[in-house]
Amino acid sequence: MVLDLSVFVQVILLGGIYSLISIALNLQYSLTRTMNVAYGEFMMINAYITFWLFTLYSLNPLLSILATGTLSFALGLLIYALVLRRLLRVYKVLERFEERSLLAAFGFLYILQSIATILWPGPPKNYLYMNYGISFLTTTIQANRLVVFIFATLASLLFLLFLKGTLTGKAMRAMMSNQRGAMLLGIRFTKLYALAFALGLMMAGIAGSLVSMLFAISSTMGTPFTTFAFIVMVLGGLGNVLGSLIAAFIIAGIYVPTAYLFNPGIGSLILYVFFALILVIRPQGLLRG
Amino acid sequence: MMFKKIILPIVLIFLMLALIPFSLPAYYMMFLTTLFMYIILTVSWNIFSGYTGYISLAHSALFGIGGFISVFTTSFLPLPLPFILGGATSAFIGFLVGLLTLRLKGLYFTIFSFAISLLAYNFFSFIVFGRARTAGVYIKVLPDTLIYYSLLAVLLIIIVISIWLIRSRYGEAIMAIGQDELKAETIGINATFWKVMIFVLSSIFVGLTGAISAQRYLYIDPQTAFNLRTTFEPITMAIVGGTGTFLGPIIGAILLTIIEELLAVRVPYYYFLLLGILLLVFLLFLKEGIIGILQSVRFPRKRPQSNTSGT
Repeated sequence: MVLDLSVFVQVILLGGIYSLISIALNLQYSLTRTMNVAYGEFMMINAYITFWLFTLYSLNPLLSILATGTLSFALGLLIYALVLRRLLRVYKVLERFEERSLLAAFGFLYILQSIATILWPGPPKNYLYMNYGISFLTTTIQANRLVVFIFATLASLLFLLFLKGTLTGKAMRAMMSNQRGAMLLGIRFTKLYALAFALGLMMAGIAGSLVSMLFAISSTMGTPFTTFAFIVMVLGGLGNVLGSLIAAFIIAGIYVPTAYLFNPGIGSLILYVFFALILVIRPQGLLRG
Repeated sequence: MMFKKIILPIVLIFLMLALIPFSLPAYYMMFLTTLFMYIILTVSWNIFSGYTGYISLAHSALFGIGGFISVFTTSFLPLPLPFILGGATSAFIGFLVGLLTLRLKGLYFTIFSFAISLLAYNFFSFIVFGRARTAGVYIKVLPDTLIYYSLLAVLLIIIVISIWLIRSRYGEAIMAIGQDELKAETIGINATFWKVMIFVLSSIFVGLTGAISAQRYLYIDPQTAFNLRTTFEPITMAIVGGTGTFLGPIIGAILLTIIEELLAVRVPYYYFLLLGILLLVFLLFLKEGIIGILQSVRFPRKRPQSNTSGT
């Protein structure tokens, strides 16, 4: 087999969904100092919700984004109110808080996986939506992949515009680059903190709905997404949202051709080796310094 | 003083445990074998993460690697060697991971240790076993008593080492890193060196335990060997018992292994749900763990005193 246009197209399409996930995870970490290892599990729950809405009520998966996005946003606020606010109060030193919030996220990983397995036992689920090809130059593109790409990119761009254009977004970026300085300028920490965490989960909701159109849905589908997003985040630089956007396409550019030439397992192996190399050569990420 | 309070109880407890296979029904021995496994995994997580504060999520990778190495080598190596080789391989992997990421401050280590479990899973299922995802190895199961005594020996070693560690200057260095890495470096502690060393030490025990425990079951495949629960359970046990202490992780491991024994076979996913909830509750409301509760019951008035008299 040769690498042709179709592989290039797949790189772009997959890069779109990776960038959405990585941007959200990066924002969540750099603003709330919570390394959300349960991110893929939050996606998984929303993928299930989308699946059931489609199967039971034949609701268009693209419309269920509204439901999963809103629901996840609310869930984010709830987790802030019940868990993170308390953790912030108990562990005042930043390093201690980072350790504990990460462990709390690890707890959520297991809670969500267990809930999914209890509620929806049995084999992985999937459904067919827009499952036809569109011819494009010399290749065909799966319509659902294209739509997922368009929606993921739209969500990412809207989010970047929010960060660049609105006052709240600017305050968030100020908090990302210098928390104490931002607070001295009168930016309200708690409000932005809750908002950033909830926005991060909202993106997980959207991403979950989108990936449910492409991949088999199971309780363990989440962790690979989280690790891929971690690799993208480190490559793009922790705290650098634009870096994540670019790095997502680089990662897809490494994964897709190797997965295509050999198999998906070897593709992700090469990705992990690449991850180790980044940590040796450029741990601060591509775009910084 | 040290003999009466530390050495004597340990000797007595281990003598009693050594007699169990002769005196109690086999069920208790099987239960204790599982318990030993969890105590070793929890204590080994605690000697690194509990004291340094760097959260390791690599247990499932190190456990599985130890298991596979020992299963692959038992056919041609005499018995303690496959176990030792399993421990050594995990130690080597731990060394590489530590060298790569522990020189960096912050969460790089944790992120990489999370990825290494998936890396190990992918490596074994796609390179070692080819494409088929369900492939694994059948094992000639070792006698239960042999597994029991092997794990008991490892348990004794890790308990002796962790007591020695806490009381030695090396332990003080590690705890100093956990409290304030920058200050520790200022007074001349080579933080990276000690973090890597302790992580390697911890990895040896995870690998050894994986190597011995793998031989309990008829069959091993990447899915079970690298299951994330091997990371999740010891962490929860350590947090519930109380991290950064000697007894806390042991108490947590004993308590949760009993709960697992009652729940895991009948309703496994409710057990994991309960573990997740317990982890959150202890992180949020009982940060000193069970050991903290016990201490506040035993010495109710000591806390405010020590706060005011601190120099």
